[in-house]
Amino acid sequence: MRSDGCTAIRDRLGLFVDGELTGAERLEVRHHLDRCEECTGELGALDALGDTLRMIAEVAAPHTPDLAGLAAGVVSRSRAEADLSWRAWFGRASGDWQWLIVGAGSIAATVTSALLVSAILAFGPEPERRDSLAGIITDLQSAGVVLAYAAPLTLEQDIVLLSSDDGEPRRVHAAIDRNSPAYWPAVEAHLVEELVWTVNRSRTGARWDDGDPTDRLIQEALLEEITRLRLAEPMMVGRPTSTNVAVSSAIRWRSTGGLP
Amino acid sequence: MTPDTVVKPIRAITWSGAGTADWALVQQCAVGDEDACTRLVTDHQRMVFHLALHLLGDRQEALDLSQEVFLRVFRMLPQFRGQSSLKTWIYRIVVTQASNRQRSWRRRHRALQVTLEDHVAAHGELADAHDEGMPDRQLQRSETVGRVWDALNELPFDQRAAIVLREIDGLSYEEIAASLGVPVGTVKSRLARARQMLRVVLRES
Repeated sequence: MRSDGCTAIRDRLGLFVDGELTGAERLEVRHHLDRCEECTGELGALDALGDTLRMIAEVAAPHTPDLAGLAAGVVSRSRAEADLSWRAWFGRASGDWQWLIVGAGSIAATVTSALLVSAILAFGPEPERRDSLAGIITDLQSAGVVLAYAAPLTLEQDIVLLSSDDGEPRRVHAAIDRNSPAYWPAVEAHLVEELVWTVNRSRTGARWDDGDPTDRLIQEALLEEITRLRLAEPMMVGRPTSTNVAVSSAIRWRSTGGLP
Repeated sequence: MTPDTVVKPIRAITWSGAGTADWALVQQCAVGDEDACTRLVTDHQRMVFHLALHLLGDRQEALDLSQEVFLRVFRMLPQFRGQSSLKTWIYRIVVTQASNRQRSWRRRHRALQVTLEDHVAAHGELADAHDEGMPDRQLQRSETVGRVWDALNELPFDQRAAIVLREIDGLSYEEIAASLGVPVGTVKSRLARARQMLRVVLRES
């Protein structure tokens, strides 16, 4: 008959079979089994179960597939995966150190350039305007450009510079490039020609005050009209752009400048 | 030793942390030594395949899983700290991978699964010296094994893993706990429930 002792023992039979009891516990179970057929039968059933499960392994063992190719396949796939990993890429780059230096140098150059450009844009001078003084000087020094220009020497003195294609100031009659009509629309070219003619006629040097007052008014009018035409038209490459400066200066043209 | 003394076959496996040989092998594999990697696979491939077979119940799935397991082993080698033996560590990977795979696979392929009983009936692998000339006994054993195999596959995965690791692979409770990532107490309860269910099958057979 099954007793409370049997229940306690059976709860531990699995541990007994598995060798997971302490020495004292094992001895206790052993003593009980020596005098209890029912629990001994239970133990036998547990053993039979274990034997049957191990038989499953025995059945499967002879039919283990050929695993000879497993290692080669796994190692090959594992190596392919490793080759694709970023760590491998970094390792190769580190091994090939000259490319690492090239890469680092390229990055450093890019960063430096970006910082320099940013600094220039943030703290540098404004871009040069073509109608600014610097722009006018640039135009004066540009080959093939004919330009009428007046620049103040002092508060009371203005000077008329007429530049030819070599960038050197010249007299008026030598300043206008009559062979370049492409730069000068017919009306504007005519006006410039008139201006040159009146300037040369009214004075031998460059002294404004020496000129005829009537010619002076005509010249101012001519300059204004030339300026109006030039400002009204789209800017062209190589086209004089500083006549507006010349005009504004011409209005307060008071003195002479030593034209070469 | 009395005649009725229970002798439990215990596999000769050392589990107390990674040994020097294990550690050296892992280090060689981690730096890409292909010979070492090949040795790691060949040393453990049968163990991995059979555990996968017993957990999944299908040879082809077990073979596929074996490949996955070793790929994962190589991916995770840098994380191996030697706190357990290399075999324990690999066992745990097998169980984890099998658990992930069996959920979907068993759902999809249950109808196509070939039982061990069918396999045994077809091939008669259980014949041995004691069974020669005793076809009735051989057949009875084959049927019993087949039923237990089916019952094993019907067990919840956690219980199946515990009973397989204990009875077939011969691991101690502590080793099973490490392989399953659960406390020893949980191992005890899973084993008890698994045995209870399987004994019902045995009793009926």
